[in-house]
Amino acid sequence: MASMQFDQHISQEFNDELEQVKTRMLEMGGSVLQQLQDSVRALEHADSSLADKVLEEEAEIDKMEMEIDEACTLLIARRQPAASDLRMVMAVSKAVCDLERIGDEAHRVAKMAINLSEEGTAPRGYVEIRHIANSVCAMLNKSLDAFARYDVDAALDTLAEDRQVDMDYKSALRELVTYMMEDPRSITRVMNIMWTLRALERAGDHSKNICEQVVYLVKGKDIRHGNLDEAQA
Amino acid sequence: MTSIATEQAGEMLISKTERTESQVVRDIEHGETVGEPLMEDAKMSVRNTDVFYGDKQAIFGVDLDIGKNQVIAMIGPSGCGKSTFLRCLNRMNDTVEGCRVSGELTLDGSDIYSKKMDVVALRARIGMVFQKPNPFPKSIYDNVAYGPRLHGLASRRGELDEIVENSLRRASLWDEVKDRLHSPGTGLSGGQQQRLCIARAIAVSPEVILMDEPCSALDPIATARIEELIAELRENYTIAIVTHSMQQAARVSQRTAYFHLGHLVEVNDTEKVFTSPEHELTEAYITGRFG
Repeated sequence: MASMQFDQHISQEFNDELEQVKTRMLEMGGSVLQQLQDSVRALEHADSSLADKVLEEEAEIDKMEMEIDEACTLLIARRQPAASDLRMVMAVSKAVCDLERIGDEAHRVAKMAINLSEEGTAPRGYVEIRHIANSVCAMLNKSLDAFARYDVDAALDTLAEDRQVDMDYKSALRELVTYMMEDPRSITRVMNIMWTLRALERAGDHSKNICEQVVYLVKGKDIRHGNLDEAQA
Repeated sequence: MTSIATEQAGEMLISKTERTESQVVRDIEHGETVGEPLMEDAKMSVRNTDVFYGDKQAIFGVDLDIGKNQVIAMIGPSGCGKSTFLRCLNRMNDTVEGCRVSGELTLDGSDIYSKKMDVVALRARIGMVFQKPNPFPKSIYDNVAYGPRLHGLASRRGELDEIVENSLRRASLWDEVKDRLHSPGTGLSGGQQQRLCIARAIAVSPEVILMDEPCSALDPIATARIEELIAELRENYTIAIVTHSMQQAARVSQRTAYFHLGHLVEVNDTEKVFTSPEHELTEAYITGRFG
């Protein structure tokens, strides 16, 4: 698609600046994905030192967010981008915000990992966490990939996957509630599992937002808050 | 290594340029305007209009409606025909040797190129502001009073004073010049001179105002004043503006028309043109990919 060629401006510097904000956003996405995977692994293996690493590295993610946002602001001030360039800057700026929030969710999962590791491993609920975590990490990976390739179809497919994550989340909650009813002594621990699932489900929502930005970037259509069928039309 | 890389980069660049040019050629051959060039209840309508300078065709089959109390911006690279097109709208091209306009151009449904049309009266209904401020070498007062006098719009001195004051007020110039109405208009600053020209254009109560790059000779502050003025004038007048500043088009207009090599490529709501234009050429131009 011709309009997605960001390297053809008369100004080479403009090309570089646009390329750079996009590349840095994708780098940040890679780091966030790593954080999310590490936090889930820390939880599964009751590895509190890995969880500590996730907590420490969150500051790095925050720094990246601010730097990329500043680069976007400067780009708008200097270049007054229009059309696809403008959509690129806006999409990057919003995606960066979602990535930072996913970083926050990873932070939450890491904290739960520390809490749960102090209590010893609990077999119940971990299957659900692993399942949902795998889906969410795959979603994030695909949404970043769709952004990198300007692939609307991939973005729409990934959007659809969020429905499945939401359904899995709800059924996991139902199951966890029955655990709590069976054994009230497990409530604290099961609540931690629930918060973790909640954090993962939120991370899925943010990945979905990134996919919506991909559609906006490529097609110029704002599909937020609409239903998926409309977006696919 | 370096030379191979450079060569490859060079080749890539050539293929991209070729692709762009082939798009342009294709567009010229099958050029239909994308977007919404036509509208209901238009103030001016242009249909199937060609313009020639001698043997050279400058405008190719343009269809466009200009909406009432709207600002329409014409953008496009140099030589794309946007100024030529603007000048067709009040028959300014009549004064250009060898220039021939064909097609149907109407103002409120009446043909502006008809033999019965009084060109002087037409230009009173469709005023024009040029790129370079061009006040007459007369006083500020006489600059504004010139049109009303010519068209006999005022029967008494008091009435003329009123027209002059109103026009200068509407052009946001009154407060700056009210104490020196009889000093020469050429003594004003560039921005003030341009507002004087706008006051002169609106003194004869036109229905349409054509502006040909009205801010290109002005500093940002004077430009902002003129843009503010355009927004106010829109309530009472229909405005067509040619501008090289894309940001200006985005700020002041409701519709934007993109011209390329004499063809009208795209007409759409300004919002759409500057966020997601339909045509590749429009996109390429407004994002600075060529032009």
